[in-house]
Amino acid sequence: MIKNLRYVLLLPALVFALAPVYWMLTISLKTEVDQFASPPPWFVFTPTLQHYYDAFVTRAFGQYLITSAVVAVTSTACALVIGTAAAYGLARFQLPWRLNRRLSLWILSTRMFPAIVTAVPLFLMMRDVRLLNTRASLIIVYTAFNLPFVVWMMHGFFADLPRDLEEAALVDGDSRLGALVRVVLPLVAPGLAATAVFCLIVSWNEFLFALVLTQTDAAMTLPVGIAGRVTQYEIKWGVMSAAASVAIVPILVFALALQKYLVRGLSLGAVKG
Amino acid sequence: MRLTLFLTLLLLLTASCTNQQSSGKQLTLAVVSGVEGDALKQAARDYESQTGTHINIAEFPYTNLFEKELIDLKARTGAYDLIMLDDPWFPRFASEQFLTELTPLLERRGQSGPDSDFVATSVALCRHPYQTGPLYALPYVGNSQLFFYRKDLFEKHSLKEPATWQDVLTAARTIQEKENGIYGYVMRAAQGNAAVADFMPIFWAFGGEMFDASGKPSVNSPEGIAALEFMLQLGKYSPPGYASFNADEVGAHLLQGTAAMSINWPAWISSFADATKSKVTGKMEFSTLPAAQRPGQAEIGNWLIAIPRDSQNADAAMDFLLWATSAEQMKRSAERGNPPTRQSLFRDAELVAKYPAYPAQLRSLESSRPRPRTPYWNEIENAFGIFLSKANSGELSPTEAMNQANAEIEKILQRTQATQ
Repeated sequence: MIKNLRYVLLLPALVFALAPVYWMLTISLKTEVDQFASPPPWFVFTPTLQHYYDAFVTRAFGQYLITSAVVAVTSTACALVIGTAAAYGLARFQLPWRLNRRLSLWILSTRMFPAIVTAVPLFLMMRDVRLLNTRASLIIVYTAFNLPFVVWMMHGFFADLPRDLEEAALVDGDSRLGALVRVVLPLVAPGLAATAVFCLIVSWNEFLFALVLTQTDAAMTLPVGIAGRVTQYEIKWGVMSAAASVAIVPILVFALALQKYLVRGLSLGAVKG
Repeated sequence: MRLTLFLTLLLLLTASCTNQQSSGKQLTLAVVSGVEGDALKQAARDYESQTGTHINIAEFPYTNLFEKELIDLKARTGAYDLIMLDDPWFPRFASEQFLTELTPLLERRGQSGPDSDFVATSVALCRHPYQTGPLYALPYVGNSQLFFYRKDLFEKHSLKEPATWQDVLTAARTIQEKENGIYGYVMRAAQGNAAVADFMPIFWAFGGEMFDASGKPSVNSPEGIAALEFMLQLGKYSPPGYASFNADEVGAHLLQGTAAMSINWPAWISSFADATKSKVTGKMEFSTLPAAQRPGQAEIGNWLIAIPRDSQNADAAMDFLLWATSAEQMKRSAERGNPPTRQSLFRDAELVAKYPAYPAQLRSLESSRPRPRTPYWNEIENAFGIFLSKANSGELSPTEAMNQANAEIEKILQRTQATQ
């Protein structure tokens, strides 16, 4: 009985969360006449794949997809490697002048100003090092913006872990790095997974810097490509929905694959508070 | 294991760095997303295979292209050799001397000025000051507003062709009263560009002027207020919520057959012949804008192509520019859906057979008017649009709206003059 009631309560939440996705999927399969019909044909319409054809054959959305994937995966990996190392250092070593706390806050403070403030300086810097319109520029920027998050998340996980485990490894003759890689990291794997998913989603969806720092198809990411279908006189809802429907697949697959870790990782963080 | 991971990352990074273009005979072209930019992209690819000049394309959404170009031009990156620009941006770019003067480049090729086949109102946009000054661009896409109306409904209710705004009002009333589920008129009055674009033809026809002879704002003249009052009357026959409509909602209403008349841009014409987009195929007629005290005038909205002053390849860029705007190439652009800027093409038998609205489009273009030529048009349009929208949503009376708009425009002018 209680169990049934739970489903009754879950149903509206599910509808609330999935209705926009359903709407997007159906728009991507409808002709323009059906897209704008009032009242809208909710379930019964003649589906068309024309918008998918327009997006991935006529236009270069396939290429944007690859760029997005390269940029998101690489920057997530970089942020995880650098950020985890930094977090481990802050969690395990006692630095002089209360630097542990001060450095942590300083790192966090880089997230406190609006991103747009850095757009023009970054543009000029990338111009001077001739990285404008490259995937590298986006990888560098996304890594930098994900770092504070990685450091703070991972710091929490490391602080939760008893030191005894690593010390046992050290006593047995392992190096500091060896203990980190062989003992500590496997234990915080759920935390790493949760952090990775977050970084990946942020990089995957990022729009502002992708727009400012890229100029041609060579380095354009999906969000910029999708926004490009808002033309001067018309908004190409069909193509935008088709591209967006494809764009959610990689993140969905990745999140499902890590689901087991995710729940543990997020609740670990939550208990820590 | 971790070393290999680190090395692969490093490799990935350097690999993506080498994406940088190497030097050689190549041009970079900034285009707008949409049918206008698509045609130029196609042309660039053809040019590439004909001449071997490599052309990089930078494509941006309409709403971002202006800022993108402004940042690059201001930072003097020389990133672009050719830029597409919407004509209202031109005074800003030209007055800040961001663009290359084209006449010397033309003279070096034995031409004294732009081809006389270009429509005069289009070439006038490419000069700074307007119409009389040196040439800084060439017109590529010849848009100007048209009046869209449902021929079938006009015949059914024996209404006469909408020659004046009074005719429009009468027809809107008749259609809305006699037809079920069809609004007489649909306009867009969302803040910003939308409201201003739909209002200017009424404003001009009623005798309004944004600036008087001495350059002071004069939108709150009796003519201006009368025009806004008329817009509100017409708004009674527009679908509810039109004060927040943009081009998209207007297009949707017309294509779904739920509204009978509108001011709109030629980009929409082809949709009315396509049954997957339109429920009213073959029923829409396109004409020049209605008159009132003065003859009807459309807003012109041309896409121009210019060469930034910091381009390192101005000569090669000019070759491409002349090639792309030649009659032969512009015809291909027209076949891809862009109105040309050459008179000969508007009269071309093949094109007219494909686009029956061309004669009306040429009449509209030749009699069209540019938006007031000021470097600060974007700010002024934005401010003006807010007050127009507020009047349409009932927040302000027409007189209040125009008085406040006038004061706001004056403030913008004072502020910008102070910083000059």
